[in-house]
Formats: sequence, C-alpha cells, structure tokens
Amino acid sequence: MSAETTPEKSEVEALKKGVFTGEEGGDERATPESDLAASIVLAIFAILAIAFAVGLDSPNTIWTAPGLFPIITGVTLLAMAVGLGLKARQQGAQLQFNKRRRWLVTFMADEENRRGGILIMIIAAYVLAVDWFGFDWRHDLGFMVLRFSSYELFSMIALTIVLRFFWKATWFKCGLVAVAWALALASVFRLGFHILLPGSG
Amino acid sequence: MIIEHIMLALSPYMLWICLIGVTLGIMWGAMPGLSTTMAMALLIGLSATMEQYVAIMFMLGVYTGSVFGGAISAVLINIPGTPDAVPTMMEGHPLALKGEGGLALGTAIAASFLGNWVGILLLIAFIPVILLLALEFRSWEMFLLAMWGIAICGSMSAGQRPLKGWISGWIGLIIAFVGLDSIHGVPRYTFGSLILEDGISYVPILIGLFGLTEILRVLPQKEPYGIPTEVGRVVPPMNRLIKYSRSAIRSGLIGTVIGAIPGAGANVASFLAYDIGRRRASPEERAKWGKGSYEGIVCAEVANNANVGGSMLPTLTLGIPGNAAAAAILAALELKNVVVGPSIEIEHPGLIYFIYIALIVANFLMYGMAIALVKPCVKLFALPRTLLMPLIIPLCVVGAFAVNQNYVDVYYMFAAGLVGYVLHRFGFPLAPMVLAVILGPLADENLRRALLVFEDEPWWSMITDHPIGSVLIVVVLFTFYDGIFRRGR
Repeated sequence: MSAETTPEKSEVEALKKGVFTGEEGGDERATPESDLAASIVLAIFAILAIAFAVGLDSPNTIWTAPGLFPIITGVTLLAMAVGLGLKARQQGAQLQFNKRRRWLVTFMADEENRRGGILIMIIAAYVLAVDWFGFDWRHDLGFMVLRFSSYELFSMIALTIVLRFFWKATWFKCGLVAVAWALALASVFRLGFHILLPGSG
Repeated sequence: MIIEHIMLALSPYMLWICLIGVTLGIMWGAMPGLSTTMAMALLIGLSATMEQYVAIMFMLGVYTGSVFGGAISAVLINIPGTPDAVPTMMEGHPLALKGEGGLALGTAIAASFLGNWVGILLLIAFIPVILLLALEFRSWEMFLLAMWGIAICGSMSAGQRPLKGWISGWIGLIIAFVGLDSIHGVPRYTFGSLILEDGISYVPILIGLFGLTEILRVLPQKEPYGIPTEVGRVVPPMNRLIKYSRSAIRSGLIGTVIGAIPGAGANVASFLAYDIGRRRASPEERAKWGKGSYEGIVCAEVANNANVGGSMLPTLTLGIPGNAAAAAILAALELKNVVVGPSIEIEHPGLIYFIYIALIVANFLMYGMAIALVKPCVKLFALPRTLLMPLIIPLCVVGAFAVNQNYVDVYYMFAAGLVGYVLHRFGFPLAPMVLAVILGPLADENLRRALLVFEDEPWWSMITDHPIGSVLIVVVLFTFYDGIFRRGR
C-alpha cells in the first residue's frame, strides 16, 4: 500500500517524459493569470527600487555611487517583470477586476489555503508575543538556576494550538507534547549549547 | 599543519560529533517533508556557539547523512524524504512491494557510499586547480563570477522558466543592498531606520526561506499516510555495484559537476543521472525502469551523494555556494570568521584537509549508520507529519535569534518565510534569492571597485587586459541566451 502527494506526482511525470524541471520546479503551480499579477507587483517593486536608488547621495564619482548597482538591478528587474507579463499575455492571461475578486473567493474557499492562512496568523502572533511580552524568570536552586522565559511560554501555547488544529489530537495530548518539546528545546539550547533564548533579555 | 588537521578530524571526539551529525541527518532526511536544506539552515543557529571544527564536522555529518536519508522513505513508503529521492522512489518502491525492499535499500546505501567517494575524490583533485585559477581573479572577475552564480542558479532552479529564477535572484540582490553601503557608508533602502542600517543578515533569510516556508507549504496539505513496506534484511550488494559500475561512475561525474554549478543541487543531479542512465541502459535492463530497476537506484543515489563533494568545490574556492545546503555551511563558516575563497589556503592553512577528512569520515559513518538506522526509521514513519512539522516552528525562531542574539532577525526570518511562501505559490524558486543575498554585497563592492579602476583606462582594456573576465562575460551572456532563447521559449 502506498500514497502519493501532488508535487511528487508532477516530478514523476516530468521524469518519465525526460523534461528538465530544475532544482525546485514550479511550473505546475503557476498560471498565466498568476504570472501576470506577479509581473505587475514586481514592476511596481522595481520602480520603487529605482526611485529610492536614484535619490541616494553620491559622495564621489558616478562609478562608486552607492545607487549605481541598485539602479542597474532595478532596471533589469523591471525588464524581467515586463518580460514575464508579456509572456503571460501571450498565453492568454487577462486581468479583470471581477475575475480577480472571484479568484480571491476561490482561493479562500480552498481548505488548504485557509489552513495556510490560519497557520500564518498563529505564527505571527507567536513571534510578536515572544518579543512584546518578554520576561525571564530565574530561580536559584543552589546547584542550578531554573529559568523560564517568554520563549518557552509562548512556544508551549503556540505549539498546542497548531498541534490541536493540524494533528487533531486532544487538547491534553497536544499540550503535553508542546510543553515537553518547548522545555527540551530550551534545555538543549540553554544548557547544551549555551545559546541565549529569545525573550531572555 | 596538514597532519595536525587530519589527526584532529580523526580524534575520538570529532568522530563522535560526526556520528551524531550523520545519525541526525539520516533520520531527518528520512522524514517526508524535512529536507536537507531545512536541516542545514536550522543548524546554523545551533552551530553559533560551537567551536569552529566541531561545527564543520557536525554540519558535514548532517549534510552527508540527510542526502542519503531521503532514500529510506522513498523505498519503503513511496514518499521521498528529500526531493532528490524521487527517482529512487520510482524504482525502489516497486522492488519493496515485491519483497526486495532490503536489497533495494542496500543498493541505495552502497551507491550513496560510492557516490560520496566520487564527489570527495574529484573535490580533492580539483580544489588546487580552481584555487590557482581563482588567485588570478580581480574585482571585475569577482563581480562577473558573482553575477554568473546568481544567473545560473536562476536557470538551474526554475527549469523551463529561467526568467522566474532570475527574478527571484534579483529580488535577493535588492534585499542585499539594504543597509550602509560598504564603500561610502551611505544608507540604502533603510528609510531612516537605524535597525536597517546594519543590513539584513542572510542567516534568518535562509532559515525563513527553507525552514518556515517549508512548514507553511507542507503543513496545510492533507496528510498522505503511507504504510511502511516490510523491509527485510538490509544488504548492501557490492556485486550489484560492480555490475552497474559504468552507470555508477557516469552518475558520480554528473553529480559532482552538477554540484559544482551554483543553484543546481542534488535534485538536478539525481534527475539528470537517472534520465541519462535510462537512455543508456541495455534494452532488457531498460524494460525494468519504472517497474523496479536496481540500475535506476544506482544512478540516482550515486549522483545525489556525489553532489555533496561537488557543491563544496565552488563554496570553498570561490565563496560561491554550490547549492542552498552549501550556503548554510558557508554561513556557519563565516560565523566562525572563516573567509572562504581564493585565499582560504593562506588564511586558514589546513582547513581544507580537515574538510576532506570530515567528508570521508562522514561517508564511512553514513554507510554503517544507514544499515543500522533503516528499521528505527520505519518506526519514525508512524509519526504523522502534522505532529512533526509544528515542532520545527520554535526551532526556526531560536535558530534565527541565536546567531546575532537580536530579535529583529526573528522578524526577518518570519518575513522571509512569508515572502518565500508567496513566491513558491507563484512558481518562483527560492535558492536564487538566498544566493543573491549572499553574493549581492560581493558583486556590488567589486563592480564599483572595477569601474573605478577602468575609469582612467580605455573601455576596451576591460576585455583586452582581463582574459578571464572576457571569458566570464561570454559565459554570463550565454547563460541568459540559453535561458531566454532556448529553454524559456
């Protein structure tokens, strides 16, 4: 008995046909519409990069100007973005606002995308919480100092939520795994490798 | 000095460190969804407080182990642990279903061992030559080399759409410009922020792109449960390797050469060696390909393991990582103030010999541990990906923080993870971006230095006085030509 996932399937097909998919592939994930949208965002990004580079001070000659290479990079990136857009148009891509709205609705209707969005929000909250509510509690036992920081606390909380959401075990099981893992990690890094943990000040 | 370094690499403590690294690497690589690059990226933080040689030994052990590890799940549960194990999965799993899983894995172990040897021997043979050539490089050549590295990485990563690879690289260049410029100290893209004046370290970018992005990509997917196939006795059959020796040597050469090309890693190596192997196979052997061919396993496994040695060649001699995993080694070396590149032999005498021995030791340990770890790994497959992947999130946070002990790096890591996720969804490869963030400052500084030198000279001296540079210009132009007019069509 076996199972296959989608990315591997596309790689297997490419391999059977002898098509070069590159180190990371990616063709199967893009559509002409997504390429066109990406080209517009990239063109704006490139124009901004050029605009900021043009405004940079140039203390010496133009050849050593700090903005020289950023301008060259921005201009070539703009050309590439235009190339990507033109290619997408050749393949029949058209940007229509109504369609884009429908695309957004379709995107959010996909369960995998929704799960991805929720995961991003949990991780964002975790990263912010460790920083904003930073603390480092220490208790001297004589032979060793017990430490507990915001990294351990919020790792436990975030892991419990993520595990409950994706692993779907009971809250107790998820919490137990999260506490054990956070404490184990903190001990290995702090005691084994003498690495300061985030939130420890 | 050389003997000292060799003896150091063979000391019991170093062997122990290497054994831990190889063991972790095999187990990590065997877990579906956990890639070699992810392991290497997360290890940078861990290596921050390690002693220089310990860190190198540990990372090379993990690197060697994890490249092989992918074969275990590929053969037994039909899911490649690492992407480069897809060809092994295509040939190994049908064999496992026939009850030859042990023999298929044994073949993979023997082929990996041989592949590593080919990579290491070619590395030892070519390092002196490349170093000699690299000493002739001036600012102009270094700039062109850096740009070629980013361009070829874009081409090799994106397959049929090299334009997307280049765009990813160019975004990386713009990220690399953030901070004070190295010649005049003028702030670039800092928007008045003092924090941004320090620039953006590539370590959190690496962890974000290859750690967090992977989690965001894999975790929301519906869990594909695989039931491990009965493995049987794992026997590395050397006689089978002798039977396929021509394919093995050819695949080893392919793997090493591909490894030396920036951006082309174990995936390209194993795919290419597998494809060429299939075309060159005898008609009766070719009939078995896709249904369970030992020759197919040999081709793929020799190539992806030879890639390890190959990737170290440009990393050590030119400071240009051969692939994303080698970029992590480069980052770890830089943390230890080891500046790799043409002057490595002068500034760090003996270090290269230590790396040779570390790779050889890791290869022997990989051979032994692979046989010992196959059955425990089968037990690991019972753990669902939805349990394992979340556990990496706190590792990403501490890994990004540990290097500079600065929480801003955690924000950079998170931002890089998000950007990587979006780029991945739109079909852009990520390795060129990492390479560009690493090579951007080198390219920028050397371009401006070179232009300053050329300022008082006639423009054609750029070509007449710099033969290596002229060759590099042709190579860069050909890379773009090949991408635009041949593959990009």
